[in-house]
Amino acid sequence: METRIVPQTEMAAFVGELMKTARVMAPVRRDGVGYFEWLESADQLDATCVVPRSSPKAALLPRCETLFGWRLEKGEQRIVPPPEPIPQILFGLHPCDVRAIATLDAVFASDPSPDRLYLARRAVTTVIGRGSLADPATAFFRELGVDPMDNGGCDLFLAPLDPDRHVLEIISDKGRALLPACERFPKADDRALALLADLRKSSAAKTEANPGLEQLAAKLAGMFESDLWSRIHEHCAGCGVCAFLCPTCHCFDIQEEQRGDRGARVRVWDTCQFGLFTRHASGHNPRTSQKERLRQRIMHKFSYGIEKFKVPFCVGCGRCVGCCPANNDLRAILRTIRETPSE
Amino acid sequence: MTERADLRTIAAKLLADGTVDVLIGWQPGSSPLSAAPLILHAGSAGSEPGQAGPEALVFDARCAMNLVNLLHKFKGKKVAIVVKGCDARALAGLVQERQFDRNDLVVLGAPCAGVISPRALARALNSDSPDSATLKNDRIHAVCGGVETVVPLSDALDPGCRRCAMRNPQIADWLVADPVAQTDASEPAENVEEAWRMTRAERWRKFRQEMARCILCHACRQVCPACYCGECFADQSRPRLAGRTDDPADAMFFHLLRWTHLAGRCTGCGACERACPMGVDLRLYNDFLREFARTEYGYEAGADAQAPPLIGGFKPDDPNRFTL
Repeated sequence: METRIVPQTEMAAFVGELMKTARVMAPVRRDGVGYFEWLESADQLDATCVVPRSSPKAALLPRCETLFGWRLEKGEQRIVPPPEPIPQILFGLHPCDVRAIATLDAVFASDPSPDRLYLARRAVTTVIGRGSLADPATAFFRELGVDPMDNGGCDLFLAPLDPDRHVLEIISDKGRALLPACERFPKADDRALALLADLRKSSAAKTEANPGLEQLAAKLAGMFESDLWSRIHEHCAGCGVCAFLCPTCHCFDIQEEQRGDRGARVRVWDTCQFGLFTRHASGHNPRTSQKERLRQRIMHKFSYGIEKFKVPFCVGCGRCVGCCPANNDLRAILRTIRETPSE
Repeated sequence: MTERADLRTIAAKLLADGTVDVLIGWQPGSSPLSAAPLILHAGSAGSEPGQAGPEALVFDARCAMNLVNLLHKFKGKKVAIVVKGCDARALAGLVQERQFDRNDLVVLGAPCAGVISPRALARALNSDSPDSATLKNDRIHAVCGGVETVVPLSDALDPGCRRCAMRNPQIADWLVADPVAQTDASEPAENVEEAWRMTRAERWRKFRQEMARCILCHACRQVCPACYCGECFADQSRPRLAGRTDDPADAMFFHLLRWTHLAGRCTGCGACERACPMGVDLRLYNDFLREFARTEYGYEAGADAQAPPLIGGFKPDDPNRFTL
């Protein structure tokens, strides 16, 4: 694998080069808070942000996506196909966010109905991960077996050596396509690579090698009627912060938008935390309270997801932990589940 | 008659002697400088494994959420609730609107010198994910990316708290701390003044920019004590009223309609802005509403639990300059 050394001071210039080839989503900082956003200029980049508050899923599953449009022409309805996706680079993703993309891939590529729009966008997406030597206080990806120095799933990977330097690993064909933007950097020497190998070793040692997720899924499968759910939902406010910031939550609603003689069918982010999510056309709602809704969230992430796709629908990024208005800590919920005696 | 009491002692007593079925207070939270609601049920408080009892209750600048919002889940029960000055105003509003019978509630008033706003804290630290942060003697000691920073607590307080004129809860059966000094808030809010100084075009640009940030997660609505409609207009689907696209017009529609419903009712507790993950300047628009109620109708939402609500009352000398 080809490797280069990228000085921290050159990061914005690197992104500037990348922006010549595709649109780039990267961490920016506004009022102290990190967000993943489409860059307008390279100097917006915040190269210190580890896990930005908004997740990069918006690049693959936009908050609002046109499925198709229509317009009336001389009384005839014409269908307008959605715009072709344009090449895009996701820059500076923490390995947990890269793992989240693998989760989305599993869902949207699955038979019998692979999602054409998602896959088209995914095909023109290049993922540049960035490792991290310090874990955010609210993160728990190591518990779920995600190593923050792992380059799996990336096309390029920036592995930190120290606060001033990263080793740039050029991994896939998509990554190699960006070689012209990488060639300005010197090749990594053996000393740097040896240091990186050491850092990787100690990071792997701190990461749970066997997170026991199948056991968790099996246990949860028997906990549908547990008393636990009556307790943990009480202070949940029922908002969508956890789901909308989550890099793996992918549920959507489909709505019709119309303006005059034209319109579109769009899909928009939705969440099992909203009462409207399961309300039937008849008015009946099978999930009447936050108890059923929060249970669904936990079950989907740690039981159904694992059963069906062999991966948890949670990567331990900690966004929901840090931003929950009621501090309903997912880590604590998982602990309680693990400590609850099996029935 | 409001008596002084120790929070944990009075909470334990109220739960033990059957005065209340449920007690809602705060416990230390799991992320730096956060607090989480603690809901205790009479008869089972502290009995479940890993479940805290009254001894876990705290009150300090971390206790930012407005717990009155959670009251709606316990309608018909006898509830004790810990409230700050602003929460007490929200509670008074609900009593005015006949949502709760004051006699079903035991109000534990927590005099409050201000709470930490995640937004102000992030601005002060230039980070929203400190490795650790602790509060000591009105100073915040934080470690961000391995570097230690010390900032005064006042820099991290919600801007609304700095000019709060009701720091000591107006309705309380017990005070769980000594009263704190009030500020004089007779001057109009600075943010509102500043917005009025803008041109119409600048105000529109600012509004559009704020609304473009909104991701319609509805956290503002969900944490608001005054938002308790059985079915929110934004959730009506037969037919659908509010759109959910990323066109800022959809966020504008949601917020403008919500503000219409909050006019004369928002008590300015700031819970919505602290809950907003996208940093939308909700306070500015809430303060507009409150300023209007104050200057046009001489009305302060939640100041008097006995008074009729602004929307439900009429005074012959109402100026009627503002009609929707």
